[in-house]
Amino acid sequence: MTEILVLIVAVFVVFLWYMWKMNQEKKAGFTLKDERTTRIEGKAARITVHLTGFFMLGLLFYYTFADNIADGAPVLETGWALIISVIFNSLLYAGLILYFQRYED
Amino acid sequence: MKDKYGLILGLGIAIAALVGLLFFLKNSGELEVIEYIYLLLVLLIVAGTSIILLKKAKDIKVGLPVGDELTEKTTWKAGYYTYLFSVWIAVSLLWYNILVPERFGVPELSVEQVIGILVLLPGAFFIGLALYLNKKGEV
Repeated sequence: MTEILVLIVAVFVVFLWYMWKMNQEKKAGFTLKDERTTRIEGKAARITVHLTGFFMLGLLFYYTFADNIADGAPVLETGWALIISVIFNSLLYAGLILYFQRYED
Repeated sequence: MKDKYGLILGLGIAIAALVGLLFFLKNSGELEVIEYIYLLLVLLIVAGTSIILLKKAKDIKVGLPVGDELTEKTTWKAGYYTYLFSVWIAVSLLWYNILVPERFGVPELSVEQVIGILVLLPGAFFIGLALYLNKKGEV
């Protein structure tokens, strides 16, 4: 339990530090993101949100199938469903950003 | 023509969601609190989608382009914030399931509940934010 609390605090500290750093750069007059980066990130995020919705529905169908219909298929646990969701979200977003950075325009 | 097909498809999905909801309400017994929240979120998503589709239908009728640059930009921005929101929701749910049930004696969230929250909450957030940004008119 202590390890988990330390992890949570560490994540929040990193988050606060990141926000503070961004604020400092903004105050100093730096442009945080140019127009192309904003466009690419927005496009990638919008596609990620839509696809993740469908992916989660697919996961729900799998869960129903494994739990009620197919005997012997591994049943999904809540923790794993959440971890799969976060990993899918992050990898898809990163992949789309890389793709658009390379092939857009 | 492509816009018209998209519009018909969107309306079809909205009607299907409403019909599904009616069947669910007809066949379900007593609802739990989380099921009321699900229903509310589904209704919000259907209402939001209908508003967007009606606006599109109006634009098509008067011959205006459906997706102008501003609309595109607002959906990108809404998508970006929704992406961050959905990741934090998933992480928060994970923390909730690890920390809260053990300490406070409340039941853990099930897979169906977690997936329901992860689909409906970001969906409602995206539609709400896109509508707000479109109304505000600046990105």
